[in-house]
Amino acid sequence: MDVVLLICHGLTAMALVGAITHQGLSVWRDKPAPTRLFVDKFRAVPGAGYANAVVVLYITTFALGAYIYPAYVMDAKRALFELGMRKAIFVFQMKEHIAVIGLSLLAAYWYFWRQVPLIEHMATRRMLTTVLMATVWWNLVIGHILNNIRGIA
Amino acid sequence: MSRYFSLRIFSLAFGIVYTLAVVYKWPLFYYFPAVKQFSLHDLPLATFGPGMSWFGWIATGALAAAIAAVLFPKLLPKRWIDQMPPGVFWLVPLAMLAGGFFREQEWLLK
Repeated sequence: MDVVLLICHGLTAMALVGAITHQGLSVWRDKPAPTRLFVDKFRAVPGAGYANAVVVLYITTFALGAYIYPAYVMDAKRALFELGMRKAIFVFQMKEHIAVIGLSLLAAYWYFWRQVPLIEHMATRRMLTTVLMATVWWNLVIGHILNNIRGIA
Repeated sequence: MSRYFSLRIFSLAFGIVYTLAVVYKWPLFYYFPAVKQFSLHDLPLATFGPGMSWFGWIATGALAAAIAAVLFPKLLPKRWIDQMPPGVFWLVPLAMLAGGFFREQEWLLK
């Protein structure tokens, strides 16, 4: 069961990273970009339309991760400890704190995307979206590496 | 909604109180995965296995933030909340990161 939930956690994280990256790049546009290059097409999206999806995906991904966290503590963390891989444990523990950073920002993030006119508070919206995008990317990459750590080691 | 519950205050207070909870070890409760049991107190390792504070830290932060999000809009002038500098949404996550590093640095020490 935990493996199924871990896969679901990974899949929702993939959807989340796609949504937040579209929005995170589009929020830094000063004016409508020409859409010749792939990157320009990628960021030429209406960012506000992603806000609800990002909130739902973040909470879903977080909840799935939190549900399987005790299993990690009992199995994976114990194995890492016995192998003396303290730095890997440190990185995973930091991943959990970084996940809470994103969780704490969700309320303000949703407020500035959905309750405030888009021409106001641009700087705040950019900061919130960028921090959220950074937390999601960091946790996706670190989570993936840590999940495969036995294969790497 | 913002008249009764400030989403901005909730976010900032959550981050600040979570950081304090992590640094000063203020979990609202502990979870012991070996016996699948919650407790308001840290229990003996030999009997109950390792205790998890993370859920309790989140609960501490969320509960305090919910109270702050209800009270602050009533206590503070509206323009103070409206004129909140955008930089606070960088500073609070940085403080959270520092708090997490402070708590977990033991894993980097031999």
